[in-house]
Amino acid sequence: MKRKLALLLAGMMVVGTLAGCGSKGEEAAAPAAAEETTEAAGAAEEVVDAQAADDGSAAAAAIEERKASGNVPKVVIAYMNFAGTPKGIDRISAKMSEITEEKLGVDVELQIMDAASYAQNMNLMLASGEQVDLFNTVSVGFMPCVNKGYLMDLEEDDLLATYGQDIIAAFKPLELNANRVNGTLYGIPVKKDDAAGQFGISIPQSLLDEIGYDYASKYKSADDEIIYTDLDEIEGILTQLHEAHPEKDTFYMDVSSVVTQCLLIDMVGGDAFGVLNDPINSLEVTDLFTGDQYMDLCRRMYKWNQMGFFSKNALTETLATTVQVKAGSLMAYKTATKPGIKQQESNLCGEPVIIFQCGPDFKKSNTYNTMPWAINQNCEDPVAAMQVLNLLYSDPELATIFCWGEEGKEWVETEDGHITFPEGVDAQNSEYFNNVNWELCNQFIAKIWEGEKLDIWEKMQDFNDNAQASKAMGFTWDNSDVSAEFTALTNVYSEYQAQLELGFVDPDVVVPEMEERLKAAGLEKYIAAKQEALNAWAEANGIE
Amino acid sequence: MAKKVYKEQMSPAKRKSLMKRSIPIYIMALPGLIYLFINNYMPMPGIVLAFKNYKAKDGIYGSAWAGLKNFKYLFSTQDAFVITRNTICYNIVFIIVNLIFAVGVAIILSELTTKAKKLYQSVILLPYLLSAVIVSYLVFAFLSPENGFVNNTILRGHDPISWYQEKKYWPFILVFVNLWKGIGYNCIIYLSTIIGFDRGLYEAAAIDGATKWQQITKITLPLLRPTIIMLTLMAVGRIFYSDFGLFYQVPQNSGALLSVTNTIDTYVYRGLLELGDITMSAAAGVYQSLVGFVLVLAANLAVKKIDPDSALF
Repeated sequence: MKRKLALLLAGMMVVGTLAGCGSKGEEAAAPAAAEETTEAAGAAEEVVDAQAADDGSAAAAAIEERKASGNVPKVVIAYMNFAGTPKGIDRISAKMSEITEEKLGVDVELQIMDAASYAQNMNLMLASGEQVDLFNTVSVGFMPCVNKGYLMDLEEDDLLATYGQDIIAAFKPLELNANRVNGTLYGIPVKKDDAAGQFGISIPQSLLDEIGYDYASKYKSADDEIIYTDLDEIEGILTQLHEAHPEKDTFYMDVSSVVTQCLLIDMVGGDAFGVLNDPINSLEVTDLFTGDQYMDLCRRMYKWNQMGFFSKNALTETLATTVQVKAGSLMAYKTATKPGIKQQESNLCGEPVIIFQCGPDFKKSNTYNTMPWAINQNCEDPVAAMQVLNLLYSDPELATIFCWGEEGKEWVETEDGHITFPEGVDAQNSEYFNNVNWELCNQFIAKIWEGEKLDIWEKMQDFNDNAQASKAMGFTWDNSDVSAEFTALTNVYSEYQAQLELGFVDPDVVVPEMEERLKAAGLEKYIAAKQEALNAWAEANGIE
Repeated sequence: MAKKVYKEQMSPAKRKSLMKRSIPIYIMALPGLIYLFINNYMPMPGIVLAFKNYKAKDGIYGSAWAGLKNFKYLFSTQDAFVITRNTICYNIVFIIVNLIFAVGVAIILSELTTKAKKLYQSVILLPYLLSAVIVSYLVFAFLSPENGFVNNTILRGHDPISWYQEKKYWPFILVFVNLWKGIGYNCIIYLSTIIGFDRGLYEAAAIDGATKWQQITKITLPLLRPTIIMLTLMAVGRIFYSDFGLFYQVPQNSGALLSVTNTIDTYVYRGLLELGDITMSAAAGVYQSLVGFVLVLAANLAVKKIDPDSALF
C-alpha cells in the first residue's frame, strides 16, 4: 500500500513539474497564424512597389489589400506605467482596435507593465522573440536596445516615408534625426516637454504662508506659475522654515537626478564622466567633478547639511519626495520645471505648492532620444506597425483613448472642453488612469484633463522652442569600447555620489580624493573616447 | 571499487531483482531529476553567450564570436581585487562561524527533552524564511541614524553613529545578520543526523560514567564528522557565490559602504543595471562556475588525502 502511495505521489509530482511547461503547444500555433499575415503583408508590399510614385496611395493600397485579404493582423504595443497592468486593459485594447480596424484593418493589443519590471520584461520579450511590435524604450534604454540589435531600421524600404507621413509632419527634422545611430533611424520621439527648468524648488503654499513669505508679489507677470529667483533667496526661506519646524526635514532631493536637474551641464552620452560644462557654447568634453558648477553645488549642500536642512536618514531614503511632503515629514524639494509643473506637483503633494526656479530653461542633447518609440526587429508586419504608430501620432480620438481611456467609463467631457472623471470614478478606482502621457506618442492632440490650462500645449511648444539648447543636440554615443572603464568609474562615483551631493561630507576634502580614484579607474581615457566620438559626430553634422 | 567487485559476483537473476526493487526509488527521484535537468542542464548551452558579441537579430548561436572580451571587464579594473576579496573572505568567515554555531545549536536542541523543543526549533528557523528586503528593514530599524534602536537606547547620550556611512562596522554586522538568518536552516541537517544516532551508544556511555560533555565530544562529534565534511565541502563549492540580498539589500545599497559590501554578484548586478549587457553577466557566471568547480574538486581531493571515507567521490 505504502509503495503504491509513494508511486502515486511521485507520479503527481512529475505531472506537476511538467505542467509548468504546458502552454508551449498553444504558442506553437501562433507563429503559423503570423506567417499568414506576413504573406499578406508581402503581397501588400508588392502593390506598394508598383505604386511607389505616390506614397499616399501606397499607404491606402496597403490598407485596401489588408482588408480585402480578410486577415486582421494584430499589433502589440508595450509601454510602462507606475501602477502595473490596469484593470481595463482588454477593454481599452478593444476600444482602440475599433478605430484601428476601421481605419487600417489592424487590431491592437496593449501590454502595460510597471516601471519596476518593465526593463527586465522587455529585455526578456525582445530576446526570446515573443510578439511585441511597438514599444517605448524608456527604462530599457534606447542605446542598449540599438547595441543589442533589438530595433528595426525605420527607413528600411522607405517604411517611414511611405507609411509614417503624419509622424514626419509632427516633428522638426532635428528631432527625428536625434534618433539616428550611425545614420540609421531607430526611434520616433514622444511629444512632450523637451526642455527642463533647472534647479526648480517646490514648497507647499501653506508653509510659506506660515512664515509670512510674500510669494504673490514675486511673480513677474500674473500669468506666471514659476517664481524665478536664486539659491540665496531659497536659503533664506529654508532657514525660516527650519526655525519654524525643526522637527521636520527641511530639504531633500532625489540623488539620481541632482546633476541632471540642478546644473547647466550636459551629460553627453548619458553619463557623468566627461560632460559639457558650457553646453550652450562649447563642445569641449571636460571633467564634471572639478568644474565650478559641481563644486559650488556640493559646497552649498554641505553648508545646508551643516545648517540641519537634511534628515540624517537622507543617505538611505527611498521614498519619493512628494510622498514625504504628503506625509508631512518634508518641507521643500527639488524638481525640474515646465509648463503645468505647479498643477502637477500640487496633485502629487495633495496641496497647493509654490514653484521657484534658480536656473535657466535648458534643452539637453539627449532630449529627443531618451525614450523614443521603436519597432521590434522581429516584428512580423512592419507596415501594419508603422501605420498604427502613424495613427497614434495623428488621430486625436485614438490618442485620447490611448492616454485617458474610454469616454463615459474613464472620463467625461466638461462644459468648457476639459475632460474629467465621471460620477463615482476617481484616481483610485479608475480602470485606466496611467498618468504617463509624456510617454504615449502624442499627448498634444489628446483631450486635456481638468485643472490643466486649455492652451497648455501651445505654452509647451513655446517653452520647447525658447529654451537654450545644448550644442551637442542629437548626439548619441555607444560606449561599448570603454565599457570596462565605465563600470569601474560608476563604482567609484556611486561610493561618493550621495554623500557629496547631499552635503554629508566636505567637498573640498572628498572631491580631490574621489578624483584621484576616478583617474585610476580610467577617467581620462573615457573622456578622450567621448570627445573623439563627439568630434566625429560634429564633423558629420556640420557643427562647429 | 568494492561495490564493483560485489556487483560482478552477483548472478544475473539476483541483479535483475535488485533492479526491480529499485524502480520505485528511481521513480521517486524522477521529479527531482527532471527539475534538475530543466533548470540546470537545459540552459547550459547558454554558456556560449559568454564568448559571443550578442546581437538579437542574429540570435545566440548566429552572433559573432568575441573571444575573451566579455571576461576582460571583470579583471581589467582595480575592483576585481576588492570584489574577489570580499566574496571569498566573507564566505570563509560565514562557513566557519555558521558551522560552529549550527553544530552547537543542533547538539543543544537534540539534548533538550522539553515539549518546547519544537517551538525553539521553529523560532530559530523563522528568520531564514524572511525575504532579504524585510530583513534589511529590520536591520534598518536598529541602525537608522535618526530613529534607530541602537542610537536611541544603547548609545543614548553618546554621539550618534551614522551607520550607513561608516565602513568599519559592516563586516561584523553582515556576519551577524547572516548567522541570525541562516542558523535555523543550517542546523536542521545536523539535528536530523544526530537524532538518527543509535541511542544505545549514549546509554552505554552513561552507564560507564561519561559526562554529557564527554558524550558530545566522544560520540556525537565523531559520528557527525562525515556530515560536517560533506556540508562544508558543498559550502566551499559555493564560496564564489554570495547571498545577493544580504550584500545588496541589508546595507540599503548605500554607496558609502561599497568597498566592504561589494561582492561579485552585486558588482555584476550593478554593472548590468548600468550596461544591460547579458554577455557580460554570462561571462561572470561562467567564471564563478569554473572557479567553484575547481574548488570543489580541490577540497574533495584534500579530504580524500586526510580521510578517504568522508570524500564525496
